[in-house]
Order: sequence, then C-alpha cells, then structure tokens
Amino acid sequence: MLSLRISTSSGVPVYLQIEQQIKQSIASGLLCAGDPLPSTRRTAADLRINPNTVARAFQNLEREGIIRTVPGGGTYVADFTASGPGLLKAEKLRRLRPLATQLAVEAFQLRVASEDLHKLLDGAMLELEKPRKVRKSISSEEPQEGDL
Amino acid sequence: MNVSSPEFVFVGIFFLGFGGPIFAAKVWTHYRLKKGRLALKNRKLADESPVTPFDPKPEPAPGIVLRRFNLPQRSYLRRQGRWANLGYVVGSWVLFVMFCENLPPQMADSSGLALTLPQRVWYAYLRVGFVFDLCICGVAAALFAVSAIQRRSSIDLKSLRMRPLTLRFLFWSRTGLLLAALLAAIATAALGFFLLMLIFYGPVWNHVPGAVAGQGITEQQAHYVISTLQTSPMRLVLSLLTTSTLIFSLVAVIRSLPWSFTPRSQSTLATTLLVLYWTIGSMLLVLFPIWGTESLQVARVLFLYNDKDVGPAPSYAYALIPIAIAAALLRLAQFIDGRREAP
Amino acid sequence: MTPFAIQTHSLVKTYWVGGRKIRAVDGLSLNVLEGSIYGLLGRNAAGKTTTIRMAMGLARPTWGTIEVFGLNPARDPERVKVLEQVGYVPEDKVLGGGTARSLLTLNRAFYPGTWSDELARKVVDRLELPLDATNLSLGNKTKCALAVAIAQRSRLLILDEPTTGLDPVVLDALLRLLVEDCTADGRTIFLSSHQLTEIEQIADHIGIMDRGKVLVEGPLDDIRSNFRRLTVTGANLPTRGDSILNARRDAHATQYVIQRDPDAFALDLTRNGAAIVDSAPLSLNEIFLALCGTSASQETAGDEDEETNPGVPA
Repeated sequence: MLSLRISTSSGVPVYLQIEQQIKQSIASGLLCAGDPLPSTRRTAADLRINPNTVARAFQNLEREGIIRTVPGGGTYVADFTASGPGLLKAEKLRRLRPLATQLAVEAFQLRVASEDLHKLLDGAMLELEKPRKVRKSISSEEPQEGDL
Repeated sequence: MNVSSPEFVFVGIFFLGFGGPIFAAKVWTHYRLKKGRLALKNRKLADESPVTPFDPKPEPAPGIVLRRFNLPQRSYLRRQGRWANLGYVVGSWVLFVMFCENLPPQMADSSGLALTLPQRVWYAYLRVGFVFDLCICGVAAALFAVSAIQRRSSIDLKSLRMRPLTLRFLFWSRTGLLLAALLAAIATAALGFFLLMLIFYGPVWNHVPGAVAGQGITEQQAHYVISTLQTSPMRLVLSLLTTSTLIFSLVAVIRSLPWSFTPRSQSTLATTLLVLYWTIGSMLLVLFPIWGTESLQVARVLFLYNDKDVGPAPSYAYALIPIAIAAALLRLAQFIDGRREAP
Repeated sequence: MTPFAIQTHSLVKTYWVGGRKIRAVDGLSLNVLEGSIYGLLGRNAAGKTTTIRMAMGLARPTWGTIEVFGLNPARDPERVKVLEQVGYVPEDKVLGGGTARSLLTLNRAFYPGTWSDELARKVVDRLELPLDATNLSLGNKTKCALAVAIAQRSRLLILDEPTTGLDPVVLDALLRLLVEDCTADGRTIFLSSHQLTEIEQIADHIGIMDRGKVLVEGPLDDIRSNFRRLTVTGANLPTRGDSILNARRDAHATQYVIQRDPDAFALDLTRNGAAIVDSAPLSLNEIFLALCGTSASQETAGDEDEETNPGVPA
C-alpha cells in the first residue's frame, strides 16, 4: 500500500520527496520485498506531477537497488536479502555520509549540541522499529510487551 | 401615379423581387423553429438523455478538384465554398431583379423617337439602364470584397491564423472563391436578363434601323442613336465583369490596409458605407464626363462602357487592361494582408 | 536538432498605443526544453501573452528571434510546420461561434495526422463540457478551448491562462488529464498562469517574467533550493550582497531572502559569529512576490536600508 504526498512548500525537491517516502514506507513495513509499485505514469497522474520527475525518482531508487523493474513491465520492491549483503558496509556508509554532513551543517547553523543530535537520531531509529515489532507480533499472534 | 408609370413598375418589381423571398424565408424559419421546439419537448418527455457523445462523421471523399489539397486545406475550402455559394445565390438573384427593372415596356425611351417598342426599350437600357446596372454591379463587387478581407478584429480571422494553412492559401482561396462567386452571379443575372429580353422583345440588338426619324432630331443625334443601338450584349457583359473585378480588387486593397483609428471605425457597417460611397462616387465621375474627353479616354482604356462615347467601341483586347490592373491590386492586397498581425 | 521546444534570444516587442511606445517584451531569453512541463509566471502586464502570440506567429517580433522546434513561426512555410505541431489555448478562449460539438468537428479536420476522437471524448467527459450548449459561460469556453487543443495530441501544447473560470474539481481533473495524456512520447506543455499553486504542482521547469524580462528560469526544484528565508541575529550583519534578494532589519534580528547558494551564505554568516535562528524554504508564491515586488521597488527598499543603518558595509 503506497500513498505518497508531495509538499510543494517543503523546500525539498519533488523527486527526492518521492524517494524518501518510498524508502520510508519500506523501512516502516508498509511495503515489503516483492510488493508491486504503481507505474511511473500512474503515480504521476495520481500526484498530478510530471512523469519525468517520477521516472527520475524511480531510476535513482533502482540504482540504489531499492526497487527493480521487470523487463515485461512493472516495478517491484527489491528483495533486501538479495541486495543487502551485496553492498559492503563501506558502500552503505558512503551513501549515508552526505546525509550526515547535511544534518551536521543544519545542526551547526541552528546551534544544536552534539548529544542532542545523537538523541534525535536514536529517537528516529526507535520510531522506525515500532511498526516492525507490531507487524511481527500480529503475524505470530503472541502478546506483545514493550509496546509503544 | 398610375399603375403603368415607370416609377410604380420599378418599385413593384423591387418589392416582388425581394419581398417574396424574404417572406418565404421568414415562413420557413418559423416553421423550422416550431419543429425544433416540438422535437425538443418530445425528447424531454421521453426522458431521453439529450447529449450524444462526440462522434463526428468522417469527411466525405474528395472530388477531383479537392483531391489536390490536403485535409486542412479541403476543410477550409469547403467552408469558404459554402459562404461563396450563398453569395452567389443571393447575389445573382438580387442582380437579376435589378437588371429586370429595365425590362417592362414602361421603362422604354419616351423621347419621341420613331423606333419600335423593342428598340426603344433597348435604347433606354443602353442610355440609362445599363449605367445603373454597372453601378449596381460595382456596389456588389465592393460588398463582396469587404466580405473577402475580414476585418482585423474578426474572430474567424484569428482562429484561422492558428491553423496550419499558409497565409497565401488563406487569402487566395477566400478571395478567389468570392470573386468567382461575384462574377458567376453577374454572368447568371445577365444571362437571365438577356434571355428574358429575347423572349419578350426578340433579338433587339440585331435589328438596328437604317435611319431614325423623330421630332426635331438632328443628324448627329440620329447617328448617335444608331451607333448606340449597335452595342452587342457580349461587350456589355464583358464590361460588367471586368469593371466589377477592378472594383473588387480596389476595395480589397483598401480594406486590407491597416486603418489605425479607433476600432469602431473598422466595423463592417462603417467600412461598407465608406466603400459604397466611394464606389458610386468614382463610378459616376468616370461615367459622366466631368473632365470632358479625358474621362472618356479613361473609360475606353478600362473597358468601361460609356454611353457618351460615340466613337467605335474599343476592341476586346482592352478588356485585358482592367484584368491586369485587378490582378496586380489583388497581389498587393495579399501582401498587405500577409503582413497583418492577428488580434 | 535542438533540444528546445521554444527558445527566444533577446526578444523584443514594442507596440504603439495612443502615441506612446510600449515595450511589451524587452530582451527576453526563454528556453523551454522538450519533454518538460514549463510554467511561465508573471503579473498581468508582464508580457506573457505577447510572447505566446509570437510563438504562434500571431505577432511578429520587433527585434530578436523566437524559435519553435528550431523553426520560425512568423514566416511561411516554416510557420505551417510549427502550427501543425502546436496546440494552443488563447487567452480569451474564443475560438469562434457555435456549440462545442461544432468547434470540435471543425478543428479536427485541420490536424489529420494527430487528432484523436477518443481523447476528445475523454476530455469532454472529464472536464464536464456540455457539447450542445450555445451560450457558453467563461468556464465552459475555457473547457471547450482545452478540449480542442488537447485532442490534437500535439508535440507542444501552449496554454495561456488555462484555469480561467474552472472550479477546483474541474481544475484537478485538468491537471490529471494533462499529466496522463499530454506528456507521453516526450511531448511538451507550456503554460502561462498566475495560479501559482497549480503551476507549482505540475510544472518541473518555470520561468518568472516581469516587465518583459525573465527574472529567473530553470528547473523548479533548483529554484526552490536556491531560495531561502533566514532569520539571523548578530552584529554588523550585511544588507547588500550578490545572493541577498532583500533584507529586512528590525530591533532584534535581520530577515533575509536569499536567492542563490543559501548554504554558503549561512555558513559565511555563522563563521563570522552570527546566529541563524530560523531557516525556512520559500513557497513559489513567496518567491514570486519577493522577485516581482523587488524589481518594482528596489530603489525604495535600498533607501529604507540606508535610513535605518547608514553605516553598514555592503
């Protein structure tokens, strides 16, 4: 189930918003490996934006190995177990480095202390874990502890 | 004014000729409207959805002439053709009625010449009637030309400029078709008129008297009457056609010039009135020798029939001169029209 | 083979109105890439419609050039080639008299190569266009003009104020339609509007025009990332600079609208000891207001700054 929302006033380029939201959906478990994504054209029509923008986002995601296109047509969420170990840790860190730099710059500009920044990061990662735990518990039908 | 006076006959023909068709048209439209309203009411009663989806009929197959053009051009030509056709029908009827004003015996010359009735009719026609007809054809030519060059603010012009047709094609098809319609209307009306003349009076133009007698008529006047009666219908019709073409092209040039005063003065009515005034005025100037013999010379060169001209008629070759001038003027009109910017 | 659908070089157009010469377009250099959705934004008398009319060959440039697919739209026979490939919705939405049905039937004959009846039906349906109404309201006239232009399936679609008179539902349907059917095969859409929200959503390239000139042009994402509003506290803050569009100072802080390299500027400020209290992106509306307000009152803004703080280094 993919629901994208583009905000034109967030300052973030549209293609980047699409990429981020898809990554977020995958991370939070809304999209699982092998799930189909709507076509570029369909996504663009639903969002009322230029298909080229959507195509660019999809291309970037495909290059990063997050989604894959089947030659017959159709786009699917890639299988992580296949692509995960394929990427070396160094490569993964290399990908994250520009984001880290950006975060650091913003924090510096806003005079946010380093430990506050770390707390922020930990909190964000924690948020991401919650839906996964919920889904696992529902599928295994066991009472859940440490919920929310 | 009694029933057989010329004025009454004139007015009578006028009203019959125009009143009849107008009345018929009104009755027909009224009937059509009634039928349309009835059909709409029926449809509403039957609770049918009145809106059919957009499903146009395919274009009819092109005839031999139209096949040379591509689809956009054919579409444009068909539209202009309908308009020109309407002009032809209306124009030929109007001109025919006006020409026939000269037919009834009441219109015959009554100056006391010892001629037969048919000859007097013909003589009156040549002296006065034809000049009148020439002016009418000039006015018709001016009106056709005003219609040919659409005014600058016209919606039609703007929407046509957005279509993939060359400016040259746009100009020549519209102008050419309207000119053709004009000439065809004149020819048809003249043909009808001369046919009627033939039926009522016989071939008047062949029966020229050897001598003319009459009260107090001089030798010169008699000579004048005879030479006038010798004018052949062919020459008259040709003069009508060439003069109309010339006036058409002149008005076309004037109409296509960029008048830069207020938009209101570009309205069709204002231009038409201006054009009519100018046309009649200039024709009268040429036809009535205000400048003495100079205007007669101009008339000869332009193949313009002139009843004051007592010499031998100009040869048919002179007909080419107004045609050539008209062609040049139309080319100029096309050039000016092409430089115009759409609204 | 040029990658540009429309391109102008120092285009100038002057009109004589009542004895005065008016420069409707004043040295315009526009570049519309093929395959993009380009939004031309500007105030009412900015020269947008004049530019579009020159692209359609309805007006002739006074100076400079304009090219559509590399062809000159003012001169036959190139003009015909241009018009075959361009669908156009004029500003006054008037295509002629008659019902929508008759207009559609009439126009389809002019574009035999590309016209699609099915697309016409789809547009009529989606935009809720009454096919047989005779006295069309403004909104319906717009819908009719849109139907005629879109059904043409042209390589370039030029829309001059296509949102006039459309209610929000129809407007949304139009945007969806444009994206669905008018962008395939590398087709280009060029629209001029001052409905910024719609343009901001659908366009991926924009040009902001004012007084006959282009102020800013490029991919919308780039433009959005170039503009930033910074609220800064500190001493001796500059009020003039290459990347400062305008600066407003009050007792506690200075608010900048930055038009270029905001990160570098912010870094520069913080290195010099200033504190950035807030840093926010600008919506297209705010960018537009900042730019088009600025170019009209740049002198007065400068005078104000001089008054409040005459000794500030530039």
